[in-house]
Amino acid sequence: MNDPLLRLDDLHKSFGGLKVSAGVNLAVRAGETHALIGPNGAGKTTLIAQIAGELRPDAGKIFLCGRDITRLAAHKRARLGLGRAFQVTSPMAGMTVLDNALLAVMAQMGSPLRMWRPVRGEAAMVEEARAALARVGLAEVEEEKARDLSHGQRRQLELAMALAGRPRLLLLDEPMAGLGPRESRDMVDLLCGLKDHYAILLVEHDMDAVFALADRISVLVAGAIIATGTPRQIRADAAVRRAYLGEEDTPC
Amino acid sequence: MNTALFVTQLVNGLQLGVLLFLVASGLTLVFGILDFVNLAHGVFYMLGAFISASLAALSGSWPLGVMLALPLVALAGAATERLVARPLYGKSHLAQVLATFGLILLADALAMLIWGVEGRTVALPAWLQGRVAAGVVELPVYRLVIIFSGLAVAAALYVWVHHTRFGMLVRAAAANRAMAEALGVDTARLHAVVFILGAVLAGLAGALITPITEASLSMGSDIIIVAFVVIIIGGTGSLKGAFAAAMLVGLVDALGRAWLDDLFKLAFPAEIAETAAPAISAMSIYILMAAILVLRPGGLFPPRARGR
Amino acid sequence: MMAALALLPLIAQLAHQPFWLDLATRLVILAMAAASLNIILGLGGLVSFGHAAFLGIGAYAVGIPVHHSIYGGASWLASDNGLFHFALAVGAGALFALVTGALSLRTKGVHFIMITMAFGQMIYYLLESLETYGGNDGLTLDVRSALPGIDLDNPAQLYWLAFVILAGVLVMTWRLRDARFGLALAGARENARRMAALGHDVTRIRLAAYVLAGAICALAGALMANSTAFITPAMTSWPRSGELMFMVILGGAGRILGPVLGAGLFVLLEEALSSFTTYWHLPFGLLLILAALWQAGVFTTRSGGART
Repeated sequence: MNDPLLRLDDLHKSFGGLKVSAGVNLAVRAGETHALIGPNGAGKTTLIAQIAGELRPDAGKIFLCGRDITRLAAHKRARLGLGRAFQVTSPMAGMTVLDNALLAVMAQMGSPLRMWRPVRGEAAMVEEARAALARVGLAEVEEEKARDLSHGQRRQLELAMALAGRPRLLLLDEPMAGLGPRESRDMVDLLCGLKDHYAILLVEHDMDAVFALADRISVLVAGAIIATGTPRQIRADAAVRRAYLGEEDTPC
Repeated sequence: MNTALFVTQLVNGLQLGVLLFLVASGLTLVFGILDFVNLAHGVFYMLGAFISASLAALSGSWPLGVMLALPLVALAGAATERLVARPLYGKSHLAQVLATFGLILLADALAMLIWGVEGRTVALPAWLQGRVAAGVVELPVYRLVIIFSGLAVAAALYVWVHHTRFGMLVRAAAANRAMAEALGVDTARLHAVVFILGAVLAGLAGALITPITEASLSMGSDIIIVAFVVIIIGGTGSLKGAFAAAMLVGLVDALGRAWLDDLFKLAFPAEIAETAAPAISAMSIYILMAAILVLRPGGLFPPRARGR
Repeated sequence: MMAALALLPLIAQLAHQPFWLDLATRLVILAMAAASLNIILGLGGLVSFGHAAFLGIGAYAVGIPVHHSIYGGASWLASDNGLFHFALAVGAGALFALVTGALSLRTKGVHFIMITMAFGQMIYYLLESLETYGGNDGLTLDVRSALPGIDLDNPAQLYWLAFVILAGVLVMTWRLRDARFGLALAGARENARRMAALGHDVTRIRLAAYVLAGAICALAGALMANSTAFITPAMTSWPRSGELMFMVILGGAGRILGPVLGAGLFVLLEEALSSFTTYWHLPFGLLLILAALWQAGVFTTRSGGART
């Protein structure tokens, strides 16, 4: 029971001579919102890609709920409960909001090879897709094309799609990026409402959001975690301040 | 299996490999750098053959015919690049496929209009017609000329790409398009140069093969697919890969045709071997391609991580 | 449109124009092949350029058993039973699609186009190497497939059969487009990476579509063999694949009735242009180039333009 939901065990990855992950150890516990912060180029994006299954680590292991998923394909990880919202919002742009949500629900609900019955007639699936849209406040625009949504709405759709798969762990890659102050505040509120229901690994640059949401924070610098702790501990950590916060005033 | 036959087939395989390299080298750069699907690359191969044959007949000198044909093929390449290819860079592959397929039909019909449906043969000058003794066999001089001129072109390409500034930009662009653009390369000029160079190399290959076979309407469509196989095996955008794969494909094809029959007769009854051997040898390079795809999906020299 | 097609045999008979019926049969069979391509190209967004191979597989699935039933040999294959022919066509088409699809789908974009093309050409060379079945000269079907209750020697009955199967294929395409499968295919077309992150096995979805399309197209090939009673490897050469692609795009990729429209336009264009000039590929090629440039938005947007 004390097994963490997600555990990274000494992950290594390099491109040519460049080490992007140099022995990353990280654990996300059940129920917690765990933020991953670090300066640009610290290796956050490649770490996410390794967790999601788009990149293979050179060495080390990844466990989801105690199961070794290091060599598992991305779609299989998603089926095991890894819900992901992308940094660059990338829903299926030419499809409607509802179809996007339906695809997310469908991935968890049996075979996609059914060829006869219209998908819109599968009540249980449509209901679940609509529920996911309602949770992020997109119920009104379900028949609009994803590409016609505003930037903030697309972020919400990303989130709805991650939620629709009933994930055990939400992998959120910079959900605040590119949002205006108002949209940011809405997003923080939305995430606040989610954090009681899901374990979240949050990669974020917006320090206000991180300190508002995270139960624990890990700091990634030059491909390694230099500190993990509560927001208070991280703020007080000398190594973090030196390496990352640059001895400036603490944010927030 | 005797040594003489082996050497002869080896030379045939090398000759095919060299020609394939000439056709595939330009094409692989166009794919790698421009992400552009050019089905019509074989047209330049065909044009090189027909134009050189016609000019050889007019001038009475085959080498002169080839020399004069290459600038004309370059011109055709430039026109194609400007009018059809350039507007479609960065557009959907589907549009590129459609346009270059149309270009083939157009070019084949034009060639039929100009040269007729019959092929054009060309006679070699006397000094290229002889045979040289090479150990146990006598080899046609001209085949050796093809191989050595092809190797010379490959070497020149290598020097150009690895030891000149422009070549460095070509390599950078083939490895990572976005990076090259970020470096402020004059991409329009680079693209045009690569495209035209590719056309000229294909034209040269077409001109070189004409004295052995003939210039024919279908030659472009026949070689293009094999050139694709070479690119897939070698890895898109890699000249080294194109060279290695072209030689591999040439040798497998030539040796397969010669010996699969004998090999099969060792393992199967004669009647099965007689049907299966030609069938398998007809498919040998595709089977090779399939095997490479299983083992190394990116080819022998896979492209580095591409931009975007 | 479908209603007009359904009545065509009657119209042809009333107008004393049996040739119309030939043309319409060709149209219907090509439309079926194009409709199968529409599943992978239109719904799935996969630019597959080897589709004519399936036509050939289907045609030889009729031709080979018929050949043996008359001239002996290979008694396990010899049969003039149409149901056996059609089952063999569908099975062989599906199997070839399964194997080559699994390999081709390891790659994407330009690579996928080239590889499907190469596998298509592999079938061409394979059929060409089969001397028993006429090699390059092809095979004449001395009898047509025998079916219970349907006489395929009667052109009108052959037409009706093809028409009914085409209608079935179209209905199936329409149903699957709106079902889970169609949604998943569309999702993979729009953004394969995102689909994988949602938990979809994109390769499996695409492979299923590829196999389905291959099986349907092979069935069209079996009908084509019965219609022309003469089959050659040339049915599978890659320009034929290009023509199928042209039909799908001309009719509107992804539209259910698009392939019928596209095949209709193609057949009419072919008739009209080829009666006008033997060089009909010239205007046809030009048309393709212009269509592709137009589709890519070259004429409407000055620079940049939307990517598809």
